Amino acid sequence: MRYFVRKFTLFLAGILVIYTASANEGKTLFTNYCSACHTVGKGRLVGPDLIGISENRPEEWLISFIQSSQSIINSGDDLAKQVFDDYNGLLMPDQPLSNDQVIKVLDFINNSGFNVVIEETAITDILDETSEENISEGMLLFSGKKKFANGGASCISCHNVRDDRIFSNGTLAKDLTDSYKIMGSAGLSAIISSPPFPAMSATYSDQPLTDEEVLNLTAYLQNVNQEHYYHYSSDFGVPFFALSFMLAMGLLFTIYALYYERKKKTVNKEILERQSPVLN
Amino acid sequence: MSNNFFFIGLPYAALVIMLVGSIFRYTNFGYKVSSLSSQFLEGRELFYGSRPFHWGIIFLFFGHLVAFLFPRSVLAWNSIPVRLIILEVSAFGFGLAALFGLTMLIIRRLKNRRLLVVTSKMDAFVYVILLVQIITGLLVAYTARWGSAWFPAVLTPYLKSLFVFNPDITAVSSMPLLVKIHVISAFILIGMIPFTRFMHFLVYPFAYFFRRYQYVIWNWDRKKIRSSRKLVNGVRSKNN
Repeated sequence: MRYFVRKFTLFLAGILVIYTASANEGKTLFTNYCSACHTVGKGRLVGPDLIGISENRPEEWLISFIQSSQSIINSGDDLAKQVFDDYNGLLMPDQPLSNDQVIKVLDFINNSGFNVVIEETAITDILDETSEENISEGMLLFSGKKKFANGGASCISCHNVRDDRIFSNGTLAKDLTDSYKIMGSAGLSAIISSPPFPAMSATYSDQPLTDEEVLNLTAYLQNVNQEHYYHYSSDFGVPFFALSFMLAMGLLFTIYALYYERKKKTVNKEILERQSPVLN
Repeated sequence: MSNNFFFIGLPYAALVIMLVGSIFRYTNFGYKVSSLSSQFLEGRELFYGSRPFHWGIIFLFFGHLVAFLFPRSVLAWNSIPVRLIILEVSAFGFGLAALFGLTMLIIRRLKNRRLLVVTSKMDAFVYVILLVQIITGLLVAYTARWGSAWFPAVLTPYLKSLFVFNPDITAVSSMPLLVKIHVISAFILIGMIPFTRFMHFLVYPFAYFFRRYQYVIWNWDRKKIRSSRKLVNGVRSKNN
């Protein structure tokens, strides 16, 4: 009997250890991947408050949404589209989590209401301690005057901001002037460090930005958002076309001037002129 | 699904067809590997179209090749805005020159009836695909700026992934429609090389640089020919 009790206690202890470990892992994962934009029961941050999320949404759906929100939105899922629209078209970054890990995070969220105590950490803005230096550093990085440590392409390759201090005219991707207003520092830094947009993620997946670079860029974008009233919006499209047109005209002129003589004369004119009159 | 077809299936099909087809055509119909000249039939308009077109298209071809082979150097070059503008403006300028030249060539082909006689269906295809390619290229360069800055970061990895047989199409499938059309029509162009006059750029006559001069001797009386109608003396061509 005593043997049985000992076995049973060990068994219970084992379950408890595994359970706590899994809860801990869920908590760690939540802190690392989700807490920048989500809270559990503390209200909306960048994304929605996740309390009771498992009751409102099916688990399968949650797993695929967390792993790649863009693909599920593109697949035409109504629920996903609604979430996307509710949050001003702000995409949630893709999370590199396996199905098991997502389930652990969901367990943590579900249990955090009663038997897991979340540490009462005040939500701090990552930009609280940034200075002018971060902003100017961010500006150099954004404009490509300073290279990223891991060699990724600079932001102006595709983006545009309303800022006279730098030349930015990328029109492939979004204008980032209001990005800070829409997403806030937490959302912005989350998107910069793990972009949910395929083209951007392809650019930086092998050449990720460092934490410091992300911070500096976020600080700069905040500054752009605050200062943009004092700057002109610039569109280089028309001068770009005009310059190119002038170049094309110059090119045509050069080509025709260089080759026109050849065209006017017959191929053998020179040879004929060289010939002595005696031969003809 | 269609992305898989256009950005994985099509490129590989195009490359295989290009390689096998070109080798087949070269080994079996070696003398037909060229671009059928129509200069004897019409020379003046050909000059105004062909020159700017070829200058433009060659510059752009090498521009794309450099961005594919040396993406980091292109990104480094672009890190100073003035350099970026110089690169973009030159590329766009050469693109406009190519478009002007191509338009001239198309008009010339349609205008001259004697040219229509020697124009095959494949020549028509060549004009259409080149027109699509140049127009979409210019639109991309204008609407999705700056192409030279994002191409090395976004499309070079995709092209590289094709060549290492591990295609990754996530980036290219999220590109704007114009970019997609440009990429797809480029692959179609590559695949059609063996069936069209595009073959001529695979056989550039480099040997001409190194061969000896050739003597060209006219063994007839040019003064007689000028007014002659007899084939014995030779008849001067009237159209060129």
